[in-house]
Amino acid sequence: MVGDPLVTHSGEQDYNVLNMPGYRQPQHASECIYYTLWIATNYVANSYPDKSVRDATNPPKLDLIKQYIDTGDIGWEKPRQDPLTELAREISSVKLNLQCRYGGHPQDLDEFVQDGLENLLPTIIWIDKVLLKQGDRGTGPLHAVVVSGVGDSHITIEDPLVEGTTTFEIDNLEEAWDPEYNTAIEVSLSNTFEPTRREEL
Amino acid sequence: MSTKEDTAVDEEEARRVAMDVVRFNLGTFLRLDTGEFDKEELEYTFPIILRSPKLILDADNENAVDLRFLDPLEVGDVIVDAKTKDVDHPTIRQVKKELESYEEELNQAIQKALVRASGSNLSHLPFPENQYAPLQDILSEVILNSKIEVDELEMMDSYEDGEKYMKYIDSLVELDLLKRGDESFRSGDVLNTIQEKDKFEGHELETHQDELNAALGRYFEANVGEFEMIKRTLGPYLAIAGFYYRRALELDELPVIKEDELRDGIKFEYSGRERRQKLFKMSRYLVQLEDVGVLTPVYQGGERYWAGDENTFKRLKATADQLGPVTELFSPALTEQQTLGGMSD
Repeated sequence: MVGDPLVTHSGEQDYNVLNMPGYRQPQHASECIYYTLWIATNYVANSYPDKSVRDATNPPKLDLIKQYIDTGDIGWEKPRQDPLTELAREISSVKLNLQCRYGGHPQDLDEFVQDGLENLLPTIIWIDKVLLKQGDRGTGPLHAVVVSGVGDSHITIEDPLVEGTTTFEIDNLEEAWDPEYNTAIEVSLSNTFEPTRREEL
Repeated sequence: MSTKEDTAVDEEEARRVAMDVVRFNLGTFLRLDTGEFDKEELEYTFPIILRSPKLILDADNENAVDLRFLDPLEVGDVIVDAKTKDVDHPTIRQVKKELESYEEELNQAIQKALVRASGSNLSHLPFPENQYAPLQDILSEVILNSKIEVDELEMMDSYEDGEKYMKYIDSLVELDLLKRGDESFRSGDVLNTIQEKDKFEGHELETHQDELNAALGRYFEANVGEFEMIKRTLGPYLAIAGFYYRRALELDELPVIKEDELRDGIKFEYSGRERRQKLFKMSRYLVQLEDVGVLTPVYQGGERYWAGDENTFKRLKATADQLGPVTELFSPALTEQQTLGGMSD
């Protein structure tokens, strides 16, 4: 539904989640960055409550995202801010800020994504799926997912490899959140727009 | 003697510097293993490791049904100078080259297993002139005349200026296809069994050519060590069939694959002009693989697809313990892995 940013959690949790468009990543594991950027920015284009934001957003096609970001057998190659800034310029209404800090951010994962969610905006994070699924530390390739909701004990993501949303205990996902750098892309609105606060709905 | 205490850079700092180059100069799939300190050179070495994520696709090649991770592979080292903090690391191109070699190793392991599993089928393929002619000469002679003289073989080798004939003898004796006598070789027990029966390993034995094929199949299956030679003969067939059966192993079932997709088997294996030549001959290879029962055409919605052979697949899986790096690709039926669906809301 256009302009309807929140939906109730499809499982047992009592918090709402952002109304993300699903887009399954069909072929190459390294393309998660394309699909997460597509999901996050197409959500802004179609579901953000402020019509002026929706109207100003040029939802990118995968091909456009691919023009700016190189991926391959070693994942996102040379990740840095510049291509995200250029891509955000094409999209027009959003800023895409690469956040990473060796040893991790001072905030916990739920606090980190909360700022965006208060403004009805998602955050893309990288997780170690080997650690998450099998408990093996220090070896897993990083995989990008979009955080769409958080509650007191659980957190919900849109994983382009999985149909629908996936919910974890916050501690479990936090442990697998890029153990070296806590890498994330914060999605915010460009300076021309005032974000809509969740409590305003 | 120098120690870590004498250096300006401690291990934690060296690791941070090494990780920075891995993450921001290379890619997000790479991680660092435990580092080692070289007291002589005063430098830290951190192996770069990659657990390649492999999306297992459904039979239509449209949706991922599982995500697996290959065992950690070392794709290079980051070296940090413990005095100056200078960093030496491989380029993206060098890391990718390492990966390509590993991927080739995987495909070769599957092709070897396929030869072991289906040598008796593959031996029915028409071989290029002279490729296995000496082997066929020996076996044909023994099949028709029950023996071959040692002198004759040695004479032939002297004409050919090399061990074209005698080099096969030890293997044939070991496989019990030949029995060594003082002056001649006679048919061994296995060859005798092949000649006595109407059927051998599922194949009808009506003609001498059938018997020769059965004996050759036995030879292929047992001589995977000679893989380079087998590959020169069977290369494109193995590239296509290997591509198909790799997918079958990943899915743990015989998928129905679009003909066009099988062309990727050739594309992975060959490049440039050779690739174009092999792609042009693709239809002939498929017709011949169908003829020997390794692949079968299936028609759906007016399009041609290909499916595999149950017996070949069973035998291929039975050699799982010899497949080395391939075992990580196996479906959950063979290795315990979680599925993606298990986590979703």
